Order: sequence, then C-alpha cells, then structure tokens
Amino acid sequence: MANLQEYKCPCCGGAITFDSTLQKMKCPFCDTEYEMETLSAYDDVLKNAQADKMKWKNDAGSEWQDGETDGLRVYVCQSCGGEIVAEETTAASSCPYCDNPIVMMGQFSGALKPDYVIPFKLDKKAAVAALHRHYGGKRLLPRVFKDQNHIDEVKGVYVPFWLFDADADAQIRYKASKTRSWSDSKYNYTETSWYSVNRSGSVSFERVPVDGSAKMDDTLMESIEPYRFTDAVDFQTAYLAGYLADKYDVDADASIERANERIRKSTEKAFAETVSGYTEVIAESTNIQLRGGSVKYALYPVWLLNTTWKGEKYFFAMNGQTGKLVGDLPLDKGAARRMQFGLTALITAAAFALSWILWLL
Amino acid sequence: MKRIHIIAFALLFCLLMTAGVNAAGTAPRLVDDADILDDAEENTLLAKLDGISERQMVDIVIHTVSSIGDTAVMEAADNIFESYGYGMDAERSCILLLVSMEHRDWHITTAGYGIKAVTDAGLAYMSEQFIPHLSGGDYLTAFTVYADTCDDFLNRARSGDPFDTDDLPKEPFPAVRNFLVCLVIGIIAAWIITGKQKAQLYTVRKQDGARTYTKENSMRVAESKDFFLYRTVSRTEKSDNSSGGSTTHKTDSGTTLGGGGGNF
Repeated sequence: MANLQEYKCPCCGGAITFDSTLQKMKCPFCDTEYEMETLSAYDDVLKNAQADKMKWKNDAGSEWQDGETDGLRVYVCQSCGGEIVAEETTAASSCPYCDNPIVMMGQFSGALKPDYVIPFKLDKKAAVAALHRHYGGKRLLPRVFKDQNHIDEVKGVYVPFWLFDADADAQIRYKASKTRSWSDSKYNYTETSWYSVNRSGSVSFERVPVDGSAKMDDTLMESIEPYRFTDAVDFQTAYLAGYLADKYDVDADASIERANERIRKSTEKAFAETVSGYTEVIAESTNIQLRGGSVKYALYPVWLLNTTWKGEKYFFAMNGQTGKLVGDLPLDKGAARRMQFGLTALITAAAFALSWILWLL
Repeated sequence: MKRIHIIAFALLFCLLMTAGVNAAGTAPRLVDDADILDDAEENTLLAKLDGISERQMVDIVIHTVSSIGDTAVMEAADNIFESYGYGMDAERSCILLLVSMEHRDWHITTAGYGIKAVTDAGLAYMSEQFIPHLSGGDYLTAFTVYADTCDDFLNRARSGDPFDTDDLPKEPFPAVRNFLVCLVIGIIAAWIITGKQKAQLYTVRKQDGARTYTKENSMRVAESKDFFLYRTVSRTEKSDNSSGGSTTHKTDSGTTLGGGGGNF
C-alpha cells in the first residue's frame, strides 16, 4: 500500500484534507484554503531543514621553546588565587584584579604559548587621562567622588583571549505578513497575507574574542571591545616587559559556548536584514553550520584602574590599543531625586501652559 | 356637581397663577406637574423662559410630569407640543423639554426655527450641560442651564451658523483634568531623562553579537525564496459618525419636529 502524503496546516498545524468542491486543500480546523503547489513548496522547505552544527578545530597556542620562559616568573594572589605572569625585571607586588598582595611562586612553566599579542599602544598617563574624561559630563556622579578621587592602582595587564574564526552557513525560515485595509459603508476590513520567507547563505567571522581568564570579568572585557587585529604580532616574551600577564584558566573548549552565541546572534541579524517589505516578520527556524572553525590564543592589552570610595571598590578597564575606557560609577541619589522632581515640575508646567494656549486658539 | 366644578376651576386658576402663561396669553411655558420645583423657583424660571422666548421669538418650554404611562417619551413630548399649541411664529418655532419622573426620562422636541438652531450634535452637547444637574436632583439649575443654552444656540443660529458637529461651543478649560494629564506626562518624561543620565554611569555591558568581527563583504545570500501561503480577512463594524444637521420626524398631524432624549 502506497504511503499517503499528509500536509500540516501552516496556519494552525492541523492535518489538511483536499476539498473536492473548492478543488483546493482546506484545513478542517481553521478553514484556511491552500493551493496544492503552495503546500508542496512549503513541505520541501521543511524537509530540507538541517540541524545546527557548530564545531571547532582547537589548535590554539603552541609549546614553549627551550629557555623561552626563563625570564618569566609566576605570582599568586593570596586573596583571589589569580596567577599572574611577569618578567623577572617587573616589580609586581599586588593583584591587578583584587589589589591584594601577590607572592612569587617561582619560574613560569606549563600552559600554552600564545599565538599572537597586540602590544600596548597607550601608556599609563593616557589611562589616567581617560579616567578623568570618563568622569566628565555625568550630572548624577557625586561631586565629592570626582573631587576627592585618587586612583589606587593603575596596571597594564595582558589578558588571555581565545579567538574564533569560522564561516557560518545559515538556513533561516521566517513567517511574514503583509496587511491591507479598506472599508465600505458598514465595515472596516483588514486583510493579512502570510508568506513563507526562506533565506540561506553564508557569512564569515574573524577572530571573535572570548576572555580566557576566570578572574577577569567577562562583561568588563566585552565592554572595551573591539580590538583591531591589524596591530597583532606573533607572540614574543619581550612584549611582556613592564607589564603583567594573566595565565588563561578558562580553556578554549569552555569558551566555545559564548563564541557560538555571538556568532549565531550576528548571523541571524544579518539575514533578517535581507527580509523587507513585510509588516511583521517572525523567525520560525534557524539552522547554522560552521565551516573551517578554528581557535587561536592571543594576549590583548588592558589597563586596569581601581579606586576606593566610601569603602567600596570601583574598577575601570581601558583597551590598551584603542583607549576605550569603561567602568560603572556611583550614583548621587539625592541629585537623581532632585533632577526627577525638578524636571517633573518643569515639564508639567510647560505642558499645562501649552494645553491652555491650545484651548485659547 | 357644582362643587366639583368650583374645585376644578380653582385648581386650574392656581395652576395658571403658579405656572404663568406666555406673553400671547396662550399656554404656559413652565408646567411642573411632577411638582419638583417650589413656587419661588417656578416664578424665577418662568420669568426666564418668557424673557428668552419673547426676545428670540421661539417658545422655550419645560414640562415635568410624574408619569407618561405607556406612551413613548418622544410621542409624549410631541403630544404636549401639539395639545398646548406651542410655537411662536408661522413655523411654530419651539424648543420643549419634557421630564418624566417615573422612569427618569427626558426628551427635547424642537419645531420650526428650533430644529435649525438645535442640531443633533447641538442637542447632544446641550444635554451634557444640564443632565448632570438633573441626575443630581438640582432641578432649578438644570432647567436654568437648559434655558441659557437654548438662548446661546438661538443667538448663534440667528448669525447664520448654528452650532453643529465641528463647531460646538467651547467648554470651560478643564484645568484639573489637564493638570493631571500634564503631571503624568511630566513624570514619564522626567523619568526617561533621569534614566538616561543614570545610564551614563553604567558603561559595563555585554556585546550583543559579533558584528564587528564579520569579514568584510563575506555575506552571501545563496537562496532568497518568498512564497504566498494563505490569507485572512477580518472586519469590524464602522462607528456611526453623524454628518451633522438635525434629524426630524413627522407627527400624525403632519407637523415636522426634531429633537432627541434619553434618561437621567
């Protein structure tokens, strides 16, 4: 016995039957009518859908050559447990993350050698100047915070990043609608036409960074992006002179999830921008497959600044390449309340006067 | 029998004395059968109705009754207009308000120039002015507002442009309502502006995607297929927007009357 072809209603999901009077397919549940060709084409689209495949080839980092790490020392923070790498000539006394004393554990060993490093382009002075600019133009920042502010520590740190490269093949199905309205003497009519919109293609990503340090706040690191890879060079220990370096403690495999999340979001957004001319667009299914996914290991330059105010620590990070500085600041609650009440009174009075003028006209 | 006649005559005399008659000596312009006004109020109101009616040459009439029985309120008002013989000129111009207390009905019947002066939209506006007082039991104020509004409407109609849908009298400046609306606007706008100022303090946030790391010109759309699935049509009944003017009807005697009414 031959298999019966069964179609599901794109509108309600019910099983569709052929209506001999209409000579069309008709859903017995929602009464929507379809041309046979439409259902056949829609069925083909559903059958061709593939599962996500976001795999990566991890060949990040390399082994250290003999004698390459001789001048490197490892320090451990007694408070947060962070492991810091510095050249033996660098005077390292406190942890760049929690500002507590660090103790030298001895010669650096183990871990992978980074593939690339972006050397520091901006110095400590530029970081301090950027912090002062960061305070400017913020009306709700407590004045005393600005006036009494002294920076506890400014440290240049090379932060480990995993860099993800891949071509993303996408196959996305949307359900989109167009609406048309008209009226006669008694009724207003709204017609909604539904379409199946299908897009497939590819988009390539280069060196999507994911922070490889557990101690470093991931959100803080993403906030100072982007880094321009054009300045990156092959890693040499000489670049570490005068700076601290963090040893990665989140490996590449553990960082894949975040890389996939960011690549998926941007791919979906890029393809959604190719759908136009509709009133409403809903993504029904997204399949993403990665080709040539590879991971590299790099050190990126970050200036870390911290300050203490009313017993609380405030951390700031500056991109050591571009100078972009971020960091949350305290809120002057009294000033915020005054602003809220003052503006409310001002806007209410202005709106009331305007309503009176309009009434007079 | 003679006694009954005397009592009936005395009652009619009292009625005429309290309600008064119009200048032409015909029907009284105020008939308070429901007895919802005291004597002083009746005298004041009647003087007002007479004054406006004589000046405008349109009878402004108020009738209150306890009940209209099974008769429809429009029919009852039309019957009063006919039986009392209201109307001041060849067109029998009149604006008559009937208030029936049993089911708290009211109806305004217009005739002659009254139809022109009180359009459907004008009648709706007029009722908004006096019905709240009627509902609240402040009958003298309700009838005074009714008489003054009739006067305004007739003045406006005499100028050749009666109040209608797009040109109703300006209502008093709604200061309290406007203040409350402006206060809400003020609170929301101040909250948005203050929120933006607060947001400047918080600069640490996650990246939304990896757009910055997209290889230049690497986007390739291999397939772009859109096809029609199905169509749905919904309809909603149009709201009845009157185009202005006055709705009229004919009585059994062939007189054309206008007006409208409701409950209070």
